[in-house]
Amino acid sequence: MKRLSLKSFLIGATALMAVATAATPVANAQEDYIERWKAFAKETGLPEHKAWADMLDNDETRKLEKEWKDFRGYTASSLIEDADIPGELKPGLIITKDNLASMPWLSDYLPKFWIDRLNSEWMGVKGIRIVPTNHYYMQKALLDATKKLGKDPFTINEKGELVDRDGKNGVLTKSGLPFLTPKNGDELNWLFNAHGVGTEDLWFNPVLMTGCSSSNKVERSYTGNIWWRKMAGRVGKTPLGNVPGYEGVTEAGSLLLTSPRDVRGLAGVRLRYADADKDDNFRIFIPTLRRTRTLTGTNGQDPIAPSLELTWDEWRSQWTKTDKRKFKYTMVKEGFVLAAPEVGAAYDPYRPDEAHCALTGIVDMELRPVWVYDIDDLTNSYQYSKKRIWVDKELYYTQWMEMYDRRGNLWRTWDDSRWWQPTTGRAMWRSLIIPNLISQRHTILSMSSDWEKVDQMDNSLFDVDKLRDKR
Amino acid sequence: MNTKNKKTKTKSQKLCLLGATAFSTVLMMPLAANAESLAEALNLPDNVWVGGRLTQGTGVYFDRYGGGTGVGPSQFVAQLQAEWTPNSNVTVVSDFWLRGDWYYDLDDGDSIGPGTQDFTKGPPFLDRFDFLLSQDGALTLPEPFGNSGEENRILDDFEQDVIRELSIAFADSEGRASLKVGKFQRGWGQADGLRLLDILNPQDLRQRSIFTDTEDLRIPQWSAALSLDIDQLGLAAPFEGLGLKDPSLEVIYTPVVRHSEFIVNNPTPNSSTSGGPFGLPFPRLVEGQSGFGMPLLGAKLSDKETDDWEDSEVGMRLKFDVLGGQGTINGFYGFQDLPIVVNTGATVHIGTFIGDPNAAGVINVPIDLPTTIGATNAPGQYVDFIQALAAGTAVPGDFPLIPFGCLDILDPGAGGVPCSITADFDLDYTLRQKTVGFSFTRDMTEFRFGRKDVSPVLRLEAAYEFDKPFNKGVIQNPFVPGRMTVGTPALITTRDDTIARRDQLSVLVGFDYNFWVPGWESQRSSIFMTTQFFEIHTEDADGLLFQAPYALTNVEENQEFITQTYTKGFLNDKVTLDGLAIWDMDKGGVAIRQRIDFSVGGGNWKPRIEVGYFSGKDEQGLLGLYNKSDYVEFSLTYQF
Repeated sequence: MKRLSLKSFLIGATALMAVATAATPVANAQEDYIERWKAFAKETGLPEHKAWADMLDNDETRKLEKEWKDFRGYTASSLIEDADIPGELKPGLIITKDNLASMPWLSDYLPKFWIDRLNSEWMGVKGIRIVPTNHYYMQKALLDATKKLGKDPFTINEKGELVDRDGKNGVLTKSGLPFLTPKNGDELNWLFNAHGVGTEDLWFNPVLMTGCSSSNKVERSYTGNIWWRKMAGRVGKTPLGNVPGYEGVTEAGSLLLTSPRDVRGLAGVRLRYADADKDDNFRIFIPTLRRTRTLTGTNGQDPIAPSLELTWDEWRSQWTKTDKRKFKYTMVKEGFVLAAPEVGAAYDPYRPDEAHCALTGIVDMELRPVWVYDIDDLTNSYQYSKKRIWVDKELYYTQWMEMYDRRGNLWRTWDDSRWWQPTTGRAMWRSLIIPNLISQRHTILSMSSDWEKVDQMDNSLFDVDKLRDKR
Repeated sequence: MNTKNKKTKTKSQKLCLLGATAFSTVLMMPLAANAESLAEALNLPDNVWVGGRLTQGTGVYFDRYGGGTGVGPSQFVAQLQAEWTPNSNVTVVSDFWLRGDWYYDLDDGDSIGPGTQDFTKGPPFLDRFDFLLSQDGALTLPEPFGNSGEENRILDDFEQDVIRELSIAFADSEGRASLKVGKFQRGWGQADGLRLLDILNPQDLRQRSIFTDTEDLRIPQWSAALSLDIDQLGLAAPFEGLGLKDPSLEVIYTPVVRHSEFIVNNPTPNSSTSGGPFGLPFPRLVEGQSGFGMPLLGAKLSDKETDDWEDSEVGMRLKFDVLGGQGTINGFYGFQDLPIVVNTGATVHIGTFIGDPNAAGVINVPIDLPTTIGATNAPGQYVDFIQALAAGTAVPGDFPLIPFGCLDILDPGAGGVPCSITADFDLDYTLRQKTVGFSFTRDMTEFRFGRKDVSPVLRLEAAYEFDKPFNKGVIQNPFVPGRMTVGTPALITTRDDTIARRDQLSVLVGFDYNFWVPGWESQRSSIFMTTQFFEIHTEDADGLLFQAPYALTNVEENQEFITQTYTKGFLNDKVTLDGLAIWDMDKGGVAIRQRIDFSVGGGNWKPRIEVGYFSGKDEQGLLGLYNKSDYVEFSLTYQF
C-alpha cells in the first residue's frame, strides 16, 4: 500500500514536471534524446542499441541531465536544433562508399580519416551509422562545486597556470569546472584539463593495447592495469579535497603490465604537479632488473611501449603539460563533429574484431557540438608542430584530435568511446583508436572499466615500490 | 664405466627434455593465433595467471683459445610461471625453469682451454697443457685430459637451480606493511652491470657471466622481506624533520645463504670441471719472483659453504624522497659471494706426471697443510728449486721430489717414476660481508639539452665495505724471516696468513638520457642511453689479489670502469638494437654486447641475434678472464 502510494506520487510528480517543463524547447530536446534512442533501437533491432536506450531511460538519468541542462542553458540537442545541420544527417543514416558522393557536406562533420576508411583496406569499414545524439554531463558533486565557484573565479597567468582570486594555483585551491563558456584557447584548454579523466578515480581492469600493421594484423599487444587518481580538488569521493601526502600534485597515474610475459610486472607511476615549472615525477619498476628507476618527466614523447602509437603525452588524449611559454592555445572555431558515442557501458561502437586490429563492419557515430582549439608548439622541438582538438560542449572532453608532425603533415589522430554512466555522469573508457596516417599503422586500446574495484582504490597504487608486488 | 653411465644418463635427460620441449611447443603454438594468454586458453579464473617461455639458441665461438671458430653457446630455457592473487592482500608466485646448453654435446671435444704448466717444454714452464672443454680426455699427451662439462649441460638441481621463485606476499589494505616470504630475488641500488649495493643476491656466472640479463644473473634465495611504510604508520615525523619525505623501511632476512656460482675449467684429474668458454680459465701457476711456471702441480677445489639457518644474512634499506629525488640508505650484514682460496693440504702422486690418482700403479701420498707449506716454501723445496732454475743455479739432483723416488725433471735419464702434486684448496664462502651505502636518483630538470630539451636522470650510489677479505698475492715466507713469497706459492699457506682485510669504497655516477637525434625529425622514439662511471678505492691494496687463485692479478688502489648502453627501436619497433659496452680503465679490458631483437607473431616469438666480444690481457681483471669467450648466438624464444 505504501509502495503504491509512493509510486502514484512519483507518477504524478513526473507528469506534473513534464507538463511544467513542456513549454521550453530545451525540455523537449531532453525528452527527445531518450525517446529518439528508444525509437532508434527499435528501428535497428540491435541488442546493443536497446541496451543503451534502456540505460538512459530512468529517472536518475533524467534528473542529473536536467540539473546540468538548467545550469548550462543548453544541451547537445538544443545546439543541433539551433544550427543549420543538413536534414539528411540524422539518426539511422548509414554512410557507405556508395552513397558518399551524395553528401557533399559530409566533410564538414566527418573527419577525412573516417571518410577514407570507407574505401580503404587499412582499418576499412563498411559503413558509418549515425546514432541519436546523447546528452552528456559529469558528476553531481562537480556541478555543485562549479556552481559554488561564482563569477570569474579564475584567471590564467603568463605561464599558463590557472590562478584563483587570491593569486594561488587554482588547481590546488578550488574545485569545479573553470570557463564553462570559454572565450579563447587558453580558457578552453583549462576547461578541457578540468575534465581530467571524467571521474576522480579510474581503474582499467584490464586494458588491452594492440599495435597493428597496415594489413590490420597484430604486431604486438600488451595487457595491463591502469589506475588514475585526481589528487587535488576532489569533490565526489573520499579523500575529499587534496589527497594527503601528495601536496602540489594534481593528478597521479599508474600502469602495471601483465602481459606479454617478458614485460609482466613492469610498473610505472607518474605524478603531475600543478606548478608549471615542476616536471612530472616519473618512476618505473623494471622487473628484469627488479629495481625502481627514475625516468625523466621532461620526455613524454616516447611511446608507452614499443610498437604502440600511444605516447605518454597522449594520455587521456592530451596530457602535454600546460605551459604558455612552450605552447600557444588558440580557439579555432565552434561547430559539430561526428564522433564515436560514449556508449561503452553498453557496447563498443567501433566493433573491432577479436584481435583488436580490424574493424568488422559498421562504426556508430553521433553528432556532437564542439569547440575546436589548436595547441601550437613554440619550441620547435616538440614531436607535434600542432595538435587540433575538438572539445565536446557537454562533456568538456576530446571528441576528435589531430596531431601534426613537424613538417605539418597529419601524423596521428585520436578517437575514443567512453564508458560513461548516464546515472552518475562518471566516465571511464571503453575503446580508443590511434591511427598513424604516415606509417599507416594503428593502435587500438580496449578497456574494461572496473566500477566495483575503483571504489576500493588507495594510494598504494601510486607508489611504484608497492605496485611491484601487485602483479 | 662411470663415464659411460654418465653419458647414458645425459642422453636420457636430453631426450626427455627435447620431448618435453617439443610437446610444450606444440601445446602452446595455437595460443599465438587464438588466445591472448595461456590462462585464458586453460579457462583459469581471473586471479590466476600462467605463462612461460621456451628458448633455444645456437651460435659460434670465435677467437677461441687455440684459435679458430667452433660451436658456440646453444643454451636453452624452459620456464613455467604461475601467479595467484586470491585477494588484493595476497599474491602467490611460482616460477620454475630448466636451463642448459647443448654446446657440450655439439662441440664434442673440439674446443680446448689452458691447463696446467707444461713440464715437457722445460724451463721457464710458461707453456700450458691444453685440455678438452667438452669431452673427457683420453689421458694422452699433449692434450692429456679433459672434462665433458656434463654437470653444466642441464642445470637441473631442483632446489638450487629449477625453483626460480616460490613466494607468498601479504600486504595490508592500508599500504602500511607488506611481507614476502619464500624464494625470490630483490634488487637494490642504482648501478647496472657492476654491483655496489645490489648485493642481496649472489650471481650465477655459469652460462654467460656478466652478459646474462640481470634478472637471470641473480640467484634467488629463501628469504623474508618486510616492507614498512613509515609515513602510513604515522612515524614519519622524525624523518620529515630531517627533510626526508615519504620514508619506508625494508628489512630482508636470508637464513639459507647461497654464493655466486661459476665454473673453473680445471684439468686436475680428481677435480676436473668444465664450464666451456664461459668457464673461468685455469689459472697460470707461476712463482712470482722468478716469473717461472710451476709444473707438475694441479689443484683440487672444494666449496666451503655457510650453514643453513646458522649463518644468515640481514639487509636493511631506508628509502625516502629528498632534494627532489629519491634516496636510500642501505646496510647489509651477509657473506661474501665470491670465495677466498684457502689451502688445506696436498697429495703427492707417485707414478703420474699429471696428477691422475687413479692411473695404474700410482701411489697417492696425502700430506697435511704444514707439510704442504714446508714442501713448497721451505728452503731447498719447490719454490727454491724454481727460483734456482730461473737463476741458472739448479743442477740435477735438486728436484725436491727425488726423495719420493720421483724422476728428476732436470735429469730424466737418472731414473725414477713420474710424480706430480695436487694442492687441495677450499673455496671459502664463509667470510662475512659488512657493507653500508646510499643511493640517490633524480631527474635533473635544471639541465635540459638536445633536440627536445630533455633532462638527464642522475644516478648516484656509494658502498663502503668494512674488512673486505682478499687473498694475499705476497706473503712473508714462514721459514725465512724477511723473505717474501710471491704469486701462486703465496696461496700455499694458512687461512689466517692468506687473508687480508681492507675497507673498500665504491662509487657510481651515472646518467640516463633519452637522445633525440638532431636533424632526424621523423624519429619515432628516443634512443635511451645510460652512461656510468665507477670508482673503486681499496685502501692499502699492494699485494692483494683481485680474485684468487689468479695470482698475478693485483687489486688496484683506484680501479675505474666506464659503461655505456643504448636501446633503440626501428621499423616501428619490429627491430630493436640494444648495446652494452664496459671498459676496465685500469686493466685495459673491454667487453661489448650487441643485441638485435625482433618482434614476430604479436610479440610471442622473439628471435634474437647476440654478439659478445671481450678484449683484455689474460687473467687481468674480470674482462681479461673472458678474453677467449667471443661469440655470436642466434636464439628463438616463444613466450606464452
